[in-house]
Amino acid sequence: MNSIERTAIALNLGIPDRVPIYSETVIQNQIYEILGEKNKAVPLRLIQEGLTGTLFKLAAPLINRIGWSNRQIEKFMSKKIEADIVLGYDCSLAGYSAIFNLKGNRQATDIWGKLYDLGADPDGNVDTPMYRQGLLTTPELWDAWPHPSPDRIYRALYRVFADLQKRYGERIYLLGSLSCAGLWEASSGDMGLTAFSVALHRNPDFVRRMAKYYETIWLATIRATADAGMPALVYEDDLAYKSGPMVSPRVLDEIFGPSLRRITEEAHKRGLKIIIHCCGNVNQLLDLFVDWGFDGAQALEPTAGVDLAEVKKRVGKRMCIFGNLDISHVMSQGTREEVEAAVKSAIQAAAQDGGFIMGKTNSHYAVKVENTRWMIEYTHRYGVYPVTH
Amino acid sequence: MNEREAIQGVLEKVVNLDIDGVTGQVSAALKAGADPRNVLNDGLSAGMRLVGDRFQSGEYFLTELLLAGEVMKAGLVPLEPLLVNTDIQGKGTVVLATVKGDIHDLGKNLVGMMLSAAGFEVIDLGSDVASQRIVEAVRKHQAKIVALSMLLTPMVISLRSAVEEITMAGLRDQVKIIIGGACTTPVLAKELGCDAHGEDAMAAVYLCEKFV
Repeated sequence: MNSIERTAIALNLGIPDRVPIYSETVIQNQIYEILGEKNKAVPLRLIQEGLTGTLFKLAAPLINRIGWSNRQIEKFMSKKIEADIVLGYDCSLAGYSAIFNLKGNRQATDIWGKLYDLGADPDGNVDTPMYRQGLLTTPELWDAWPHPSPDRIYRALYRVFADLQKRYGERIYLLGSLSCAGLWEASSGDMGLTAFSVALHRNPDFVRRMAKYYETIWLATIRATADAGMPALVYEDDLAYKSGPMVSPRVLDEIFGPSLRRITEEAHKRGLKIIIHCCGNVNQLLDLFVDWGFDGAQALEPTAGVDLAEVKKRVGKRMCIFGNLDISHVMSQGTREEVEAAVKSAIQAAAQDGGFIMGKTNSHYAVKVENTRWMIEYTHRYGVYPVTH
Repeated sequence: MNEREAIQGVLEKVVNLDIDGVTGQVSAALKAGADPRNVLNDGLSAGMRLVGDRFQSGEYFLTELLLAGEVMKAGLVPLEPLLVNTDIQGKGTVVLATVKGDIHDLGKNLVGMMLSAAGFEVIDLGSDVASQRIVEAVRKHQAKIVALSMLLTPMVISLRSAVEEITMAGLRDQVKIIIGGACTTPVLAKELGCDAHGEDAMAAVYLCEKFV
């Protein structure tokens, strides 16, 4: 059985030959380490200090115009998938994140209306931009922003996804995604969570209008993914934090539920599986994930109080469970023995009757490549069906 | 409407998240002869306390907490000019910060809001705060509590540094150190020599009240 078949069976809640392994890793130093290549990431000091920093700042508008930095992000997506194949993953997130425009040399905006800081990873290289605040704090500002059209999103994603699927789609199961566009995360992020909280209370029709816009973006994402031949996609939307959902599940369902159901329906109509990635304590949201039509749930952070066995018990017959090796310790500082124990525990908790895919909760630069190799090694060792651990 | 009813009305505006009605109700309370300090303590702050209770019980969520903060801000508008020269006794001073290298501030801002509502004086240093700044703030404001937020695992090093700098400055016995944030745990708090770990914003308030 190859990776494509193995992953497809698990996503259909079946029992493959062994537990498939999922990668959402997007960290530069890790990718280049895996490929044995020189790290081509750009040092932050080069774009922020000295003469080069000044020149970069002056050139930022031109860089935006020709799309140079976004093209680097697109190229990096290939590297990411190559690294996943080298490491032995079965399925890989192909998340489109070429959505940024530089604002000088210290900040960037995204196409949706959010502001980010440019910072460095531990190696001193330019890191993933860090969300700072929403720029569209009122309905008027939100309406005035030049929101990208669904067609523009379709064209950008189709071009990249079709290329990735053609080059890698027979060796690894690809799941497309679009960054920072989850209905909740995008709406609340565009406005800033405080302004959004006020709008949710004072002007819920406006919030529904934002949700509707992002629904059209996701419908375009689904079309692009399907037309490119990719078999699945990941809908990324951080609805929860450590203590639970950020907003009442009832309100979430009322405002965003109709759009989410239409999104998953469209994915299914086009023959795609659609997984939800949601950080934080999602215990109160699991039944909603099923109700909204998602085929799988990923992240399921144990440090946020999510118990994999409980998740499997509650929704495992209705959704594929991805899980859920912790990155705050096990995958970053854990010993070989700790990784082995975590893999065995996850398999024990959720793999018995299929419908389970192994993976880390998140991508993070603290995660060690060595620990990732151990995770894959032990999944191969203990994840062969019938699993007995 | 008498004074007590008016102040109760302020409390209810906060609890019911009435951002449009709170300012008028505060003005009505003042017009009814209420002392501004009583409007603040028994109206706005007491209302925030009940909001916190509803958050703890699971009735309110993060968005309601944030909205309540905005309701409180709106309610303070007619009050603040009248409170400037009053001698409000705070419960104590808390230095609040997100540690160096981490720019996340949502949780920190919530903690600051709830602590202010609970009667603490909050010195909010912001995010990405160097340890030395924290030490300087503790000295300057004679703080009794330091509340540090951290979201990103690699920032443990900054958290450790903050505790070390406070100790080296000879201030460790003066303050209680509480940590909170996505990547923090009670085990981590103990490992770093902190006094407590706050699971969420309300837990932080309860801990601070316990420490003063």
